[in-house]
Amino acid sequence: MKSKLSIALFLCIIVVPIMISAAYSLLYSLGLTGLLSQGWTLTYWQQVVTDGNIWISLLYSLAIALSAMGISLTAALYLSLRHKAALQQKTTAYLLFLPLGIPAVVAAFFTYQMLAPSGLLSRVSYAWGLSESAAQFPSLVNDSLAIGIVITHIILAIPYFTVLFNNIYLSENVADLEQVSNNLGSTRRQTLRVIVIPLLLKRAMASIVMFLIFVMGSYEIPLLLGVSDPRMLSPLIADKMFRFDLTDKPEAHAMLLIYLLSVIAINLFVLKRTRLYAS
Amino acid sequence: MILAVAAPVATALYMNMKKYILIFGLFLLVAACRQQDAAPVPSTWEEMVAAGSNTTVHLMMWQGDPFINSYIQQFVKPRVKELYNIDLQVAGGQGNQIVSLLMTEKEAGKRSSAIDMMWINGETFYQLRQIDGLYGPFTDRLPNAALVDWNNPFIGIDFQQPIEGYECPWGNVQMAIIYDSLLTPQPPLTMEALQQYVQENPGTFTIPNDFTGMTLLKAWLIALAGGGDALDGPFSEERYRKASALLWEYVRSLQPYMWKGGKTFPDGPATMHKLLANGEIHFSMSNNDGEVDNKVLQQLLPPTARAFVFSSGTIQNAHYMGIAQGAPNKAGAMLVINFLLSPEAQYHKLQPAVWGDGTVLDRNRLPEEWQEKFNNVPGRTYAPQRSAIDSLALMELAPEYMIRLFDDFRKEIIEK
Repeated sequence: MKSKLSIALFLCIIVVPIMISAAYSLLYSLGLTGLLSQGWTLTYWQQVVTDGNIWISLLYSLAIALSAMGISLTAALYLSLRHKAALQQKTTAYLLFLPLGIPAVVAAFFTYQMLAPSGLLSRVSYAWGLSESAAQFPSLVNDSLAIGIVITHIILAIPYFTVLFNNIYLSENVADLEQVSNNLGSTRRQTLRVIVIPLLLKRAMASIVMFLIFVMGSYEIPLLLGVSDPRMLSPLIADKMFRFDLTDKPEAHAMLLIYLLSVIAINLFVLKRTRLYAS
Repeated sequence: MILAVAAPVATALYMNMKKYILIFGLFLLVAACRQQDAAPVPSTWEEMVAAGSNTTVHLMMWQGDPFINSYIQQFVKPRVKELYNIDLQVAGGQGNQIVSLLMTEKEAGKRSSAIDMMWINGETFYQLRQIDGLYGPFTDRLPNAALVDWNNPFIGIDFQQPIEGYECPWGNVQMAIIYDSLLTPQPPLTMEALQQYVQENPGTFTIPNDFTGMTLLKAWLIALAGGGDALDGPFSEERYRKASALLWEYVRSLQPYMWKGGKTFPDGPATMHKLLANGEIHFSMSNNDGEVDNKVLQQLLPPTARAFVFSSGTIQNAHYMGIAQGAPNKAGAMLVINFLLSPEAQYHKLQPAVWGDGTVLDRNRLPEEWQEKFNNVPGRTYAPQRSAIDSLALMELAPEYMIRLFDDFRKEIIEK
């Protein structure tokens, strides 16, 4: 009974408000509500779909999220499997937990201070005679390759996934499975490739998907470290939503719905893949 | 599997449905009961003082400048407390946030607003008038409004729209370009000189992709259209097309030599000030001609920072205080605004060490002792004197020009 009540509460507190917001956005984007609404129209949807900005932004955000996720997971797997003993020590655990408490905007600011042409690395490079001026320092922030954005997300994600993988490794008794695999004649590489890494990734799949969605929807980090074009989803939508021309608001609502549907599609896709994998 | 999860959820929902409907109904009832009509606004000033005294006034304003915050917190708040026992509560929020808040309140059918008054500029005034979010006309109710220089078109007209008493002028500013005289001993005073400078010093110039940047583009648009009042009056598609073609041609000639190769643009003057202080760029800009003094005193810019205005002119405009249409305490808001218009408050704000914001008062209408004070305000150290740039002031254009510039700057420059 308790669990049923919890699910009902979850639906009421989380799902229902999102559904109401989505319905409101749908009505807004179809011109059926809003202070400046002039009645039913598909113009805003046509504008958003044909304009192309939302699709570029969606792909750009996905590419950034996949890059950050790929690098973070690789590094976290390496750390959690290579330095198991060190991770059990209090100091290491403390050091790993430290970045987890850093707000995104602070992390973005740190990255900016480090990597901007007037930042610390640039100054060190100038002091060592590696560059003749700030302008010569490679563009690592506000660059279209989103290097600064990816680095910031990696810094925030690696400790989290390292701790997560380490906990899964211990709770799932992966060491025993490794032992069995080795006894049956597998090499260490085979054991890692076939047993350990798939198991860790599968158990962490929910967190990985959440991280992917979190990076795709991040706002402060691309706002500080991104470029004016292309833009990640949140800055693009926020710009449309709050810009000078109030008649752009319905388009922002249409974009929000496309984003929401994309997130649901990613969730369903991963859920299906995970189940297939499990079966 | 799905059914296995869905069944208990549906059952639980069904079992709780009645309860949730009841709770939701109660919530709506309470919300409806909380809807209050704003109190009627008294007709005489004496009644206004009586109604607005001993109350709380909620002001929403941009809080990004320590000097401005200090002016409000250390000077205005204590004075309105002393004069009227008004508790002035300040909340952070600027242009689009104010518009969004009032728009949401109206869309939700809320009659009583969360804020009483707000600091706005022409851009926000245009938006709030679109959604009928401003209370007014009210300026003729304020005794100190008699001191305002209403004949000054830069004060009485906002974005080519007469303000008609729906906002009260608070300060008057003109856009200026800020530079470091150590890096740039001879700043480029014309658009041609800027073009040459940028080509000779690549990566040192950029335009913020915000209101300030668009205000600069507006000034260039006017210059390319023939200068002065070439674009005054209602929006003209034909005049815009002709002038904007020249504008984008000019900006594109600068673009490859701009900061970051003209591929990205800073989000506003605050970022540009930092880039200037770091030596990454050679020019920042502000809609407030006195900002360079303010920023040097805050040690955000070096003492070698100076400001200039292009010989083709820059936009001069005023910023205002508005009262929300659904403000629950309009009388209190009017007492505060009337105080902000007082010679005492305007004089204090005018001093560079306090804020350095231009006054909206007509000095000739002030009592003699105040005239003397206003004429002897400690001079600006780093910004050009107002008398030197007044002749280069350009009027704000109709709001549609700003809408088009925002769109076309993205299409013609950023995304090309």
